[in-house]
Amino acid sequence: LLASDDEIRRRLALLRVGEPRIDVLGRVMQRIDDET
Amino acid sequence: VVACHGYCGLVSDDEQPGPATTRHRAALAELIEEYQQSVGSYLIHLLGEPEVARALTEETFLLAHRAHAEIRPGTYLRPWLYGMATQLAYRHLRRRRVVRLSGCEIERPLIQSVLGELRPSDRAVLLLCDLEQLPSNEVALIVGISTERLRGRLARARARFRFVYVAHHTVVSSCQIGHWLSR
Repeated sequence: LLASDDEIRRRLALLRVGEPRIDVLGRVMQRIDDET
Repeated sequence: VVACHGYCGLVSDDEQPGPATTRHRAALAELIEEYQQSVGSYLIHLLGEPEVARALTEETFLLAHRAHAEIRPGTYLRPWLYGMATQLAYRHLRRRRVVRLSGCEIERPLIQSVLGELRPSDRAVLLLCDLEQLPSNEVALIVGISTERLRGRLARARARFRFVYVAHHTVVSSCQIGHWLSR
C-alpha cells in the first residue's frame, strides 16, 4: 500500500470527487460594502 | 506562478478614490473568481470542516482587500493567498485543538481521516505539494520555511500518511470482513 509518492498523490486526488463549490465573491463584496 | 495578477498597486496616492475603488473592486472580483475554489478546497481538506473553510476563504480575500495597498508589483499572489489561508487555518486549529474525523465506510472519508491524524503543518505541506501540486519554492513561501526544510517536512508527512493509511486500511478491511460475515 502506498509504496510510491505517486500512489499518495492518486489517493489524495480522490478528495477532489464531490468537493463542494466555493463561491464567496458576493459575501466578500457585501462585507467590503458594509465596512465602508 | 501568477505574479501580481493586476491586483497590486491599483491605488496610488494621487488617484481619485472613486475610479480607483471601482478598478480595485473589479480586480478583487477577478482575483476571487480565479482563486476561491482552489483556496477553499485546500482549506476544506486542511480543516475537515467545509463551513469553517468557506468562512476562512472569505476572510482570506477580505485580508487581500485590506492589504491591497501593500501588495506591490512582483508580489506572487498565489503563495500570498495560500499563506494567508494557511495562517488563518492554523489559528483556527490552535483554538479547536481536535480535528474532526470522518467515518470509515469508503476510501474518500478514509483519506480524510488519515489526513486528520497528521500534524496541521504536515497536512498543509502534503496538501499543497501532492494535492494542489504547487511548486516547492511556492510551498516553502506559503508555510514560511526554506526549501531544504520543506523537503524534510514533506518526507515526514508522506511517511506519516503511509503509516496511518495502512493502519486505517487494515481496520476498514476488518470492518468490511466483519460486515460480510454477519450477512
